[in-house]
Amino acid sequence: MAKGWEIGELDPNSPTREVARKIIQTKFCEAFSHREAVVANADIEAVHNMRVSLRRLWAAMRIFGVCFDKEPGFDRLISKTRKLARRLGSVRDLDVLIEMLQIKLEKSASTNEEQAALNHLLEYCQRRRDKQFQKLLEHLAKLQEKDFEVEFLDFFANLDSALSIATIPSY
Amino acid sequence: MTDHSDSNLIRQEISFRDNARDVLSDVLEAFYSHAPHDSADSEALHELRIAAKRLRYSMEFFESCYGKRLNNYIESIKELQELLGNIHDCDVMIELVQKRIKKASGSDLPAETASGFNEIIIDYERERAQLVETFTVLWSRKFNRGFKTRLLKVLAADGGREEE
Repeated sequence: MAKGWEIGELDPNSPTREVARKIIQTKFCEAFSHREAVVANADIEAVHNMRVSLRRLWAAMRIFGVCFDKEPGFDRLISKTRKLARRLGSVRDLDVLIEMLQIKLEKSASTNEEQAALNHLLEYCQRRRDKQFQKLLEHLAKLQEKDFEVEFLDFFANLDSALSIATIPSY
Repeated sequence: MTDHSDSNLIRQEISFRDNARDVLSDVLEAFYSHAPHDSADSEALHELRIAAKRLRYSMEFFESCYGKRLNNYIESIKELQELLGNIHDCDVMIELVQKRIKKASGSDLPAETASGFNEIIIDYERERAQLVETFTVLWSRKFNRGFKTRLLKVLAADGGREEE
């Protein structure tokens, strides 16, 4: 799994809202840095990485939500983040099952019956994975069409002028 | 309206550092409230896994307030999470196979495949039992022996202001 991005130069003595904003911005950029690899579908780790980053982002938005939830649009962002994390989760959960079944098939399937059953389950999980992955791609395309990334980053960049935006990470 | 229940722990008017101790203490308490009475109970272990994830993420968010003093605690939680995750994976797999068995009854699935399902369930139940045993040992050796007290001491050290 990819290492999480460091939240550069945090001053713990700063107002909570300012630090929370940096954490959320960094986690968002970290999550979407995996987008291309997810769409390419060349490595199942990409889905895993994006899911983990999004779950951390969602956790940060929940924990620090009180700092932002009076702002119009925050609820929408948190709900979209949650939905995307769920879509990624639906694919990842099947990747885990497929991996477990493959390992068992290669290493410890002892009888023909067990091998036949494992192959059946593998095909079943792979079919479901393909369907869920297609849904994920459609979801990502829809988010892109609606400029979700811009909406998200703009929301946190424009909260108020007192907060520096110089440290927004690029990806 | 989205549920922001975790937000209730944060006080906006104080600094990030001053929030750290209160939030982490609360999340730690919540984690221990899920301490399992029955290690074989899937639902209880699932709840503990979720609470562990919340504790780990919270510690990572507030890590900057404590220098490196949270590192070992985060590592311990990661170890626990991985173990609980593997137990959960076995539960999900067993459930999946059971569903396939139900679906297969009365279908034209080859008899060979249908009987193989039971062998798979037995395998994963055995694997799960071993993981639960490892969990029980880890929980009693690490999390039931001073983990909470030591972490609370770190958190109470003036909001992490003490020098390393």
